[in-house]
Amino acid sequence: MSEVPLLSVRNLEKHYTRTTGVVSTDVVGRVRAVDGIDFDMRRGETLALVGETGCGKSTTARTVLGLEEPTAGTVTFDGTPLQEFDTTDRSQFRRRVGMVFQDPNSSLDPRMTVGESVGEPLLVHGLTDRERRRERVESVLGRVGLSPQIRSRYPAELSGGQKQRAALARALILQPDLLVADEPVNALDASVQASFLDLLADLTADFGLAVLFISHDLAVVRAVAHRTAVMYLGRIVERGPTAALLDDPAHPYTRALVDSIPRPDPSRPPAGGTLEGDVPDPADPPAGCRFHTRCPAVIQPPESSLSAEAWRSIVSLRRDLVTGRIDLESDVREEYSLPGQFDDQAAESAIDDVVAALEEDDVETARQRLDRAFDSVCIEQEPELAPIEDGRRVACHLHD
Amino acid sequence: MADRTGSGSEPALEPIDFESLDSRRLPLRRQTSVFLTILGVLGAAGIYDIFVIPHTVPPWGGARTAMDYLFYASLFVFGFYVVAPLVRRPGLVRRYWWQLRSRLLALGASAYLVFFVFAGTGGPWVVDRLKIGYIDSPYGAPMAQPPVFARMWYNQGAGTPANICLGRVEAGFCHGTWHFPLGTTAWGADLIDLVADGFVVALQLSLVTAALIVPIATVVGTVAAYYGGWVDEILMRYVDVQLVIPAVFLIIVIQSLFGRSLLHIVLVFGLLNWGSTARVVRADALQRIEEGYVTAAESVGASSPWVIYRHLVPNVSDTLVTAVTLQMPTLILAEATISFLGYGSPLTKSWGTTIDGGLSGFPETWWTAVVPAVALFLTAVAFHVLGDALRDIVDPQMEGTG
Amino acid sequence: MTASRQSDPMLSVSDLSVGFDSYEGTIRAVDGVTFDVHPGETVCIVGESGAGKTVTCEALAGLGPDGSQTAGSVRFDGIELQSAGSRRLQELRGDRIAYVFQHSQNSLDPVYTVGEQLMEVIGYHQEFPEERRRERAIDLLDRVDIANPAERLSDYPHELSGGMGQRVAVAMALAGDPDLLVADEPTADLDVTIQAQLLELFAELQAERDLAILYVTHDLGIVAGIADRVVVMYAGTVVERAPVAQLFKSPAHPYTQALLRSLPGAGELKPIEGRHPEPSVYPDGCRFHPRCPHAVGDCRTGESPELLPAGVESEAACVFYGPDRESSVVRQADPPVDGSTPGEGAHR
Repeated sequence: MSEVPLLSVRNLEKHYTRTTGVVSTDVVGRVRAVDGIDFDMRRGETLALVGETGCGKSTTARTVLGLEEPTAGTVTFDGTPLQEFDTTDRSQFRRRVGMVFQDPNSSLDPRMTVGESVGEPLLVHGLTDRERRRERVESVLGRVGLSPQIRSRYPAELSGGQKQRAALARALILQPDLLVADEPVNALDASVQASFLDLLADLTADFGLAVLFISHDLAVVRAVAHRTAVMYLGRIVERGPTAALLDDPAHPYTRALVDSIPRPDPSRPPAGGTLEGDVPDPADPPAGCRFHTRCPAVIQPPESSLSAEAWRSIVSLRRDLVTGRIDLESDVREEYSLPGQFDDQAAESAIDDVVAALEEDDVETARQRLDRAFDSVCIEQEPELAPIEDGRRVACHLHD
Repeated sequence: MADRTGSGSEPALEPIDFESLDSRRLPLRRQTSVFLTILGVLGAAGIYDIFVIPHTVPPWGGARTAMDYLFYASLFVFGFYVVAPLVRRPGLVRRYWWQLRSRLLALGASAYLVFFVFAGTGGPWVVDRLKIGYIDSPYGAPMAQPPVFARMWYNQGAGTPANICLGRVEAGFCHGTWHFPLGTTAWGADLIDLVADGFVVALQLSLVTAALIVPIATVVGTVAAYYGGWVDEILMRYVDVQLVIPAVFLIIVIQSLFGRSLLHIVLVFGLLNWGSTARVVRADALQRIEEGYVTAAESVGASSPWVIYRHLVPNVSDTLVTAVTLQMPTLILAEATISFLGYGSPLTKSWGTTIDGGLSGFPETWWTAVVPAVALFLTAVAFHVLGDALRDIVDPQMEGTG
Repeated sequence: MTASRQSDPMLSVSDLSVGFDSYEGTIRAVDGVTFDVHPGETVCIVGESGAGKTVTCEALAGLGPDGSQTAGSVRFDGIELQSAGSRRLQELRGDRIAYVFQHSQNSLDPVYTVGEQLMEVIGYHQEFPEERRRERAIDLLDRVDIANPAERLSDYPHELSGGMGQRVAVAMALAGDPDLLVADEPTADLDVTIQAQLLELFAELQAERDLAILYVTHDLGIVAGIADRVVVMYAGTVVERAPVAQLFKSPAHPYTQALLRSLPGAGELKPIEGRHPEPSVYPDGCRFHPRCPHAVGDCRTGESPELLPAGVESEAACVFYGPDRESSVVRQADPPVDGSTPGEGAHR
């Protein structure tokens, strides 16, 4: 393991702007796909990026590969920032990074033979000698466990697992230093997944690769990654050694992810700890900690002395006020199991005001009133990624 | 598993010195180079004959027009890109055959179109060789003979020596003969000759127009889809404008101003009618761009022309062929209309011209109008049916797996 | 998740076979499949892609693709579906048997709003006047935990997230108050947290309506969570049928064992040698034999083996469970999975 990181990402941001029409440049929305992330990668190590839809992991992959321009921040490869590359550097960079995608059915051109697809990178970089190309293609096909004859077949004749191996062969044919694998086994059957991951581990070691492994499947991640970073709505919420992170998650989102995964053991109760609601719109992330709208562990303000259940009800109510989920017809106190009488006088009056405002159908006032009374740090302030034990970093106020 | 160390016995691949290689030139496939060479030779010959030595017979003999050269070039393109691949890959033929087998109508249409190609290339020659409609008479072919399966009024004795009835005469009706199976026109032309000529015109028209539309639509469609942005905007707005141009009207104007010729018709159709096909290609290309292999090529460093040429163009060919096939009926009928209105080329007897002539003697010599109309109808329908079948075959259908 | 095994099966599939014509010849995607679903229980069909799970589901209520020939018997509540007329089938579909497919796009028409579609489906099955249909639509959306159901009625399907779309599909499936819900990988493309929500929803619905559920999946974790009984399919045939606890603790068929061993949570990753055969080239005899470590001569010839008793309420299609063979050869003593947190125990 070398000292200088092979890949270094600092404050990376990638926003997509939604504009109306063609001629006008009115920005009507900004999708913050990646909103400020840092991580390093060293040769020979596998880093997993984990998260669900809209967390920004695929955008991160594309930006690291240089397929997208970052809106802000830097991506540094082997000491030089991508922005400072000239044409030769860029060409060289392309040879040193390889990529494998999720969908084996679309990763190979259906009109080209497997050999042509796998050999294309060589051709792009100028190796016009047919013989040499053929040799190399056969050699790399052998390394991924495919017979050399497969090079004259068309992708339609291959199974999913074989196609993924061919895609891997294509990614490795230029002998890259970094491999970006975007959900490479997601579309494969369980038994085929295992053999593919096995192969990947072998080749990673043989080629001395650094691997950026993107996945939502924690079981797979545990098997392949040294370190893991969990992403939510464009930010990294937890990062650290995989085993420590998955065995004892520090961030509530990580914990929810781990708990949601169905375990192949019928004697255990089915996956619990389900989160409420959908992932918020990346164009309009929640204020403060982005996860607070779904977090089961939002922190009470210090001056508040409500019971845990009462607090959870308040959080629930606030979330529904913010997301517009609130059912104005219902009896708010009953719906959210709010106690008839609060010990805390301030809380009592706040709830009265909120109920009154809702009777007038004034959701905005209700929310503001609630915020004034219960200003949780999770709503006010976005947590920073800070170190905790085990070499991990977490962005959560619970660990402040 | 992530801690596995290198096995050592399997070293990484041997390094390649890429610095010394000249990269990024877009290499042509061998096949394409051959094609372009032959096409170039044909083109040079044509230009030489027509523009350099317009009034002299060229070394290879014959008096050919620009239309003829275009036709040969189109035949070559068709042979190279449609016939040759089918010959080289019998597996593909078997698969198409199986697909067509269950669609009887499409099968019939394909058979007809094969016949159509042969008739359009060698029809008149065959008719000549078989001496169909050959008559040894100083007056030429008798006028207004009905087809073999029909009869018409006949007033014996009231007419010139040329006005005879070749067949038997019965109760005032002249019956047709096998000598002129489709009859003759009122002015003494054998209808089989006319229909054969019509095949030639129709084939030339469809093939040459297709040969013009295909490259233009492909380039415009894929470039617009891949580059997007203002390139896309400009190209698509142009297409919008172009689609408004009434081709038939324009052709009529041109025929009036610049003389009547099939070439004009073909050029207008080919150069100003590719818009809808381009749109279809663009839509397909937009979908392909999202596929993994395009991103893979980009991530390896392939340039835009590379991706378009090597990945997009081959993959949109299915939709392209279908779109062009479906345009053919419209074109053929448009040409028939133009000729029918009298603006066709007088030298090349298209079906429309024949129909036009035939309507003056309607309904007595009804066959003169009806027979070419039937041929027209069959050809247009055949293209349409084939195009529909292609669209079904090409659009992937979800079959139950899993 | 309670099973009422005493009662008669609600759905009884017997020797179901589905064949297609393709240019490679006739393909038997499903071959002699037999299983039951009782009222109020959840049966999971597990298998990898190409095993024939989806084709089986579609063939139940005559939804098979054009050009397919079905043989065998499918009895639903005493009615033989294979010989039922299309009218009868249409009546049953939605009203008594409801489907939820993998992508909500397959269930929702993009040109109509959610409300329009939902109310249309409600109208098929029950005699509701116009006004009450809207109410019922809102009720259904509420039941599947969709927030602000009244507002969602005017949304178009493309405006919904994946999870929401699937919930709407479930709502539509429930509109006719069915007795059997057939779900084909309904959570396959969804995020894991959304999937967890949907699985919870299915469990609740089953409990409150005594719904029988036939759930197709390739994810053994889901199976462990929701199934009462499991049907394992391989290459178009059923290779094992067992109650869920039995299946995980002591799988009888070598394929099931290999499958469980190849999960990432199962210690060293042990992939299965070879690959799932294509329907056009199924091997003779037992279709798993080329990949089975215990294969013997009998396995390689003839028809694929019958389902034979292999333990408490389980059957396995393996010759080793026959009368003159020693089943301990294939039966494993140790559980292949220790069932703790995902991946625990995996080497790193």
